[in-house]
Amino acid sequence: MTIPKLIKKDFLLFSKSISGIIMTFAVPMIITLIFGAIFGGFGGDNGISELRLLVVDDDKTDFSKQLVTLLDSLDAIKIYSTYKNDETNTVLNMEVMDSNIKKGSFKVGIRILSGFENNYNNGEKLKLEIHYDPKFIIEYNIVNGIIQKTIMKDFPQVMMNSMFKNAREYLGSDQGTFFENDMNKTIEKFFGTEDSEGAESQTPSDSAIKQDDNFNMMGDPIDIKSVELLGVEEENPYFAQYVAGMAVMFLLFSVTNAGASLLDEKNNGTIKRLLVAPVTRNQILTAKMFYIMIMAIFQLLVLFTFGWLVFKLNIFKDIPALLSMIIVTAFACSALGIFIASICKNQHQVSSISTLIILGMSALGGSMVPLMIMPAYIKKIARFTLNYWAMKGFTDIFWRNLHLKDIVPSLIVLSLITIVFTTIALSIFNKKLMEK
Amino acid sequence: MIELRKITKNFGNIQALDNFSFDVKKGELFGLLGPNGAGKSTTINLLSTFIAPDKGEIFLNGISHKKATLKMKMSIGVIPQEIALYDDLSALENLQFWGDIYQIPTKELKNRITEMLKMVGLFGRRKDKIKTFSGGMKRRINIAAGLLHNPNIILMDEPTVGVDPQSRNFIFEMIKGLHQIGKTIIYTTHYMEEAERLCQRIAIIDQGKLIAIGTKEELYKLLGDSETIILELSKNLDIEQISHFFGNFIISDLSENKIKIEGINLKNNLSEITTYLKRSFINIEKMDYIKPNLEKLFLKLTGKELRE
Repeated sequence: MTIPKLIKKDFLLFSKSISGIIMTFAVPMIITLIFGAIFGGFGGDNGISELRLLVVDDDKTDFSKQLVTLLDSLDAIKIYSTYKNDETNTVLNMEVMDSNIKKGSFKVGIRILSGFENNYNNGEKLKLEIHYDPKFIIEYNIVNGIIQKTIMKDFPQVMMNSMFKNAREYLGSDQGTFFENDMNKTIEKFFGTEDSEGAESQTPSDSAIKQDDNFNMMGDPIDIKSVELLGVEEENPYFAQYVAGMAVMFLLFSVTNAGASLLDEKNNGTIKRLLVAPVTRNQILTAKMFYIMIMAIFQLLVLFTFGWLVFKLNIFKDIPALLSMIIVTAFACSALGIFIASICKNQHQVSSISTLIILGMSALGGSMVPLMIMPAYIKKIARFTLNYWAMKGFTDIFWRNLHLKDIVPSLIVLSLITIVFTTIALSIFNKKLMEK
Repeated sequence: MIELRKITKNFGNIQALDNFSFDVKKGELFGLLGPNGAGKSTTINLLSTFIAPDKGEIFLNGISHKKATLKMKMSIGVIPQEIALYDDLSALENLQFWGDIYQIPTKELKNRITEMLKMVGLFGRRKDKIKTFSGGMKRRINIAAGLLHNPNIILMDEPTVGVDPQSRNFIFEMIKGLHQIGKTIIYTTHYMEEAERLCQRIAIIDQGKLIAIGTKEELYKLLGDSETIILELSKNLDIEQISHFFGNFIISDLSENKIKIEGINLKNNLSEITTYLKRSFINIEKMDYIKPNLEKLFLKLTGKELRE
């Protein structure tokens, strides 16, 4: 009967360990909850928020305007074709559209090229451009699909015109006209169209039809050109996205452990020994903060250098901006790490609580899963995480090619995080170090 | 040299020290003896300036603790009860760190480290990590770290806890050596034998209160003339019956065939006891005369064992 007693003892010990219980049950539940919310959404939210679409109409014809009106009437899309310039509404041009996408204010925009209506009338391909931030490939695909669907559904003549044009090209002028008239009669028979009234049917002889293996009468009536506005200079553009997220997440883990070393030193008596030596509490805490911050800066430098060497990440785009981001991120992560350590009693507790906080914050803040695929409300929550601001700053540099002045908001938020958490942590530790 | 005046220290609802006073002369090896939780470590923490008293005042070399200066901290060497060392650093690296903290000049520190390592008998292991050391070795380096800056006052908080007899003897010899060169030492322990063996004067404390203070001899006198004999007998004895015959003594059953007899002038009455046992056809297999000791004094003054 020894084994049941030993098992009972282990359960008893487990029940006494709050951190063990949290690690076993709460952490998996919370992480599952977060990922569930990201991928599944809560309460019927299907996860995709309304898409804000910039439109530049270089054609400015009735047909192009009709297309814009139709797109604007769709629930999934909100069209922006003008912008405020000196308090007046100005029609959007390509430069302004591209600049907004590069800044991250918009994800995607379309440009209707001049000759759009003319091409429609002539059965030529309708030429459009989709300008987008490649991070938002999902939004790009949605817009592409919606344009194709709208044109095909609401302007079926586009397909017809294109088909007739192809028929004329491949079958020759005479045969093509026979085909066109036949098609018009068929359409008239089943659907009834005004255009087909009075058309004569002329059947071409079978032998006269060109035999061409490449003949594709249906063709593709729409020519959409994709214009990636960001990340095109990067050899490995997506690494720029992930390096920031992963760097911040692992930095948080390492600085929290470094902060916990203060607890170890308190528990093994070395802090007490220091305090009876000619050393003050503030000196001990300041030294520890500096150590953690220096280590954090070093860790980020190593990681970005690794990114440069292995993934060809261009870290030399704006060195002052990158160094500023590295320093403030290192400081903010250190402050949060030492704060987590300050609210714990021992290393074991630090491990479990930091796992919960860091994984949760990393998941919500975009370190694990790109924010772009998250529902709108999670994107709002993300703004309350350190990861979000750190990643925003780094991606602004690497991805959007922005400069020091542009990343000031990220620098300010991260500095505030540093000040708040450092103040709280030092105040807690100041008391804690003197506890028996 | 060291003076504690009416010190009271509370930790929440727990009173660690209550109106506690004693003084230690320069060059004295002074013992603080008491069970766990008696207030020994609190006294060391107060003396080392780690904590401040709630009431009362402490003087070191005539200077109040309230005016604790860097110079005062430099004059104290603390050997904590914990092994306050960095496990992943070598003995040498640990001593270099603690020497740097005490601002010992580099050249002098190098000599002091060599001196200390030789004193604790671990010069040969100086490059080994602390975590590879035995408990006794760690204790010795722990002592060396507290003595590097050559303090005049040494506060040792149970420095032999958990060490093997060999290391314990080594530490005792080291303490005697420090005493011989004129260091003032306060040594806390809950081992009566250590206090008796090492200390010139001993303060016995319990539950934060001073129970008795003096030299060994002065403390033994507090026991009075009471003597103790332990007899191991050939067979079991009826305690009630023998107690009836020798009413002046306290006779108690220790274990099977083993009795303890306590009383004044016991030696002179021993022949009567042996005669009584012979008549009862009981032989004395073994007889131990227990000398007066601090354990007995503690029992007498507090009504409980020292190691409780």
